[in-house]
Amino acid sequence: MDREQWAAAWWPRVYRMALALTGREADAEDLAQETLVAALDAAARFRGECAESTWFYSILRRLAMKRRRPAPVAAPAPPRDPALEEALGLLARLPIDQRITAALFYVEDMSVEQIADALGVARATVRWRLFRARQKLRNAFCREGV
Amino acid sequence: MNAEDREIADALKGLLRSPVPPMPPLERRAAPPAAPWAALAAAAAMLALLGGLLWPKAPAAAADAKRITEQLARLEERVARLDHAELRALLRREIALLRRELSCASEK
Repeated sequence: MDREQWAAAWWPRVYRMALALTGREADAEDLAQETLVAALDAAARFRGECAESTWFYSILRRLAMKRRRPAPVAAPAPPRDPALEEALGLLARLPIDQRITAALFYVEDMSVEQIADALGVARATVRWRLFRARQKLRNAFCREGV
Repeated sequence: MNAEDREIADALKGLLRSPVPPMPPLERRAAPPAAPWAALAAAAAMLALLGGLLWPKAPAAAADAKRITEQLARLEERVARLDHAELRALLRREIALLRRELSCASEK
């Protein structure tokens, strides 16, 4: 598999995770592209000590934290699938660290250990973030009668 | 995973319904060209000189005004030879401002 194919295989997952973090398609595309470019640049240093997903998401998270800035005026978003709208609405209620933790755990089905490796934090920190995210999402469910 | 976790997972998995755009070309975006050190040093020297020209503007006599005008013209020629477009534009604006200052001082 050449570099382009390798990146293309990861593109959908990285894009969706970027969408979970940014909440906007245009920003997600930029962030995912930046992540794959950085991953390709650093591919020679990847020694397979962790899962590729862990490695990709660690790059994604680092770039997302660097990009944090006030959102510019948004262009009108195209109509979305209601399930997608709901998922993004729920994730938007969480601070960015809880958002990526929850998305990796619930959407990517990563384990606490894998998330801790990807985010460069202790397992206890991941568990704490999941606990806080659960509380907030439960409140959102109660308020909205989801 | 307990029932609550499953409920959250079901809701968040709506993310998987997102259409994925085609992958854009993966090329590193070109960084804007950095100003070369020599050009920056030349610009700093020119700005210092221009500042010096501004200082005695109040008592500038006609002869001084002519000399300063010539100096500004020489500076403008040097600025035109700079490779760095932003630097060129910046210095041209400065020179235009100085010309206006000189013209005001001469009218007093």
